[in-house]
Amino acid sequence: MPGSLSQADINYIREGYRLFKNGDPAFLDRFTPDATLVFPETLPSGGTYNSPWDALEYFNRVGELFDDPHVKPEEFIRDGDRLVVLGHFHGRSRATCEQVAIRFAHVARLTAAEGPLSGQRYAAFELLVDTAAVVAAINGQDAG
Amino acid sequence: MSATLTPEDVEYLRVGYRLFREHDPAFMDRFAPDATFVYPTTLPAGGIYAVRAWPRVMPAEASGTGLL
Repeated sequence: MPGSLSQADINYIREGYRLFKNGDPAFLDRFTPDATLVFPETLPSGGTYNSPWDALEYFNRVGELFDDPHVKPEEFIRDGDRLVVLGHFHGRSRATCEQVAIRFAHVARLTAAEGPLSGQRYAAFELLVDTAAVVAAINGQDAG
Repeated sequence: MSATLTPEDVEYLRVGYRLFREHDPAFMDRFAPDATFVYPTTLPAGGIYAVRAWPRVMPAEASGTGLL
């Protein structure tokens, strides 16, 4: 079915998250050099970045604020050049020592509407997340 | 534009949101009787709801609070 994901595609996506978890900068190669990456403005170093290398500021900040930050992708949805990954962000707040598991959605635009993901890159990426929960974990305040 | 949804599918989705905006309870018919609604617990009244508990999410007299 056009636009659907194969098991190889899903494995490719998971591998990208593993690279991020391991601190391997090769995960940046999943993006085009001029990819737009959008993170909620309300998060530390959040905002819009115009290349994955610029977005290192955000990724590094996450590493400063959380021990062992990583994401567990759970659901994968593709519709043409759109890819949505749902999952949970995990990490231990360095400020509060709280272990968090916060639901997220990653919305990406691919460089092509069809074909295996291994031959494509992310031309755009946006993080949607419960920012109140993230900020609460960072600041040690009850978000509820 | 969607690669897998027809324009009719997209219009059907838009109508559902319009029904909600207009406070037309017919939008509830879009959900299965045992559908589950999950809202961030960091929001007021956030949590997990079943359709039958919908009045807790959007009281009939509430208008445009936009919790959906």
